[in-house]
Amino acid sequence: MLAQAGGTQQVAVEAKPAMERARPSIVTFEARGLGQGLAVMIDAKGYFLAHRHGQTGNFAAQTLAGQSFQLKWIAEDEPSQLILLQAAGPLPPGVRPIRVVSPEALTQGKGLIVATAREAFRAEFVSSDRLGILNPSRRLLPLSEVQFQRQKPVNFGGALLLTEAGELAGILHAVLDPRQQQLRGGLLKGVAETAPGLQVGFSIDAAGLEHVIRGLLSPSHEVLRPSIGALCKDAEAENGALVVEVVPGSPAAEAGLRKGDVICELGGYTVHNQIDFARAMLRQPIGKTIDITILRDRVFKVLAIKIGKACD
Amino acid sequence: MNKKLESRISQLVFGDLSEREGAALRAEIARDPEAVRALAQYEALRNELRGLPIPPDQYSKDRLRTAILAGGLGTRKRSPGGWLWAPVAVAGAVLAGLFLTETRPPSKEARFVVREHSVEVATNDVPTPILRFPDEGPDARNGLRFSAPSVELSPEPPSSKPNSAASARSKPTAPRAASNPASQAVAAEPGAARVEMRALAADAGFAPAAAPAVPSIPQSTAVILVIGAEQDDQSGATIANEVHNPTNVVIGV
Repeated sequence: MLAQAGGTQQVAVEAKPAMERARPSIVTFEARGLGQGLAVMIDAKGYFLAHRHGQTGNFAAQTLAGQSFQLKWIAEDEPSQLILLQAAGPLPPGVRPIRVVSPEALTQGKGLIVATAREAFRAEFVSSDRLGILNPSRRLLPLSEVQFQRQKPVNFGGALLLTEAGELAGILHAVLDPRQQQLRGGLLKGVAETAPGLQVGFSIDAAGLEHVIRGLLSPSHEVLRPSIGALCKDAEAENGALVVEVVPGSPAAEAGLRKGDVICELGGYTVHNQIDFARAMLRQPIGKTIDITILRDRVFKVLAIKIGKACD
Repeated sequence: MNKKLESRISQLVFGDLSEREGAALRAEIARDPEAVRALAQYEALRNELRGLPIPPDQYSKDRLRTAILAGGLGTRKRSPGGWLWAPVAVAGAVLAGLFLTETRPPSKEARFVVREHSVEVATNDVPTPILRFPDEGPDARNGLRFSAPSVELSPEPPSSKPNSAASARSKPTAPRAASNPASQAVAAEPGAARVEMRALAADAGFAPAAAPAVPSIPQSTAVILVIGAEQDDQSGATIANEVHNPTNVVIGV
């Protein structure tokens, strides 16, 4: 059941209260050749957050009440594919920053709202313990999983995830490959019998969202993450992460890490594969010198490595 | 490697096994790379412990304690006949001494040397660990490098040992390279072995009372999502693919 709201957005009845609360913070903007996208105000200085559309420069924006203004591209966080926009002139009256949900508030089964430029409907939070890579970045990020019901295939990239209280809970990046939904079985199979068109969507998790917003609003507009400049895959023959590339001049290169080394331990964390390696790196503070244990030519070595920072 | 074998290795290193038992155990150890590592670590630990300076007063007390414990504190039974046999025994000993002095050729080497100050003796005649690899020939051992790691000992008094050891065991221990099934070599860098030795010292009761907690993360589920490589034909939506065996997925940090 859908009710007509401001503009061309159709809001499901159960999504109306949340949309009413979030409405003053949400604007639409035109991405040339890609249609409308949604941006949400995150700071009183006129900064907005949105999913990237592959374009920079200025965008024509409009509040959900129909007031027009200009948004200017400021920065992008490549791993999360989120961009920072800023009002190029005075803000229309009544526009205000949205509140960002606390990560602890998102529990399994919690009701959420998916808002696109065309519609808003109910969804359900599933978990925040997924891990994923958003191409072309090679960085592993914690992801949140949500599920919702839609009959026809729609591009939900850039849709806002809102709580029922109108807080920002994420921005949808992608939906699970429909063919893989069949393989998941269990819950989805059972639900699919009574709820055809069930879809699974992914966003960076709430803690990651907080981090991205904090970084984008910093003076440099950079989202810094711990980095050493090494690319790894699973060391199938050994138990660890196999280094396949070391970025020249990076902390890993300066510490003596080489292609072919197998990382077995990092900063006190046991590393079984490249995923453990990336997860252990997520816990390292930037600037700290840590020990990594590697296996090279059947001999264990310990290298001291200073955790660097990267914004890509 | 089970606890029993590790216990026997410690007995071997600290001289609690006979020569025959020791030889049998060494043969058993040689078949188990992990046991070889443990043996090397215990030997390193023993050497470090032996190298610790002992204040002279404690040294004498320690000897006294050992003598008391070895000899026991109970009363001894006097043999039948009391002290009547003593003069006969003394006379016999004197005669035997005279006889041996006359008949035995003079030895060129002193069997025991007592010195007031310690001296360093260099020798090549030291036992070497037998290291074998199942998939390589005997030359493989030539590629091994070996060093005795450092041991961090607690300045705490011995009274805290049992509790600190128990607490150290109950905490998640440092990730040990020995648990890695791929490992068949011994850490050559002092830093690598430091983690090992710290764990060993904790087992032996030498760990600091406030041993640093080693963080731990559960092993990954090995299912990750790869987003952005594919788009839905109908909607153009970005598709997320679940990769259940992401062996070849390259991750960079």
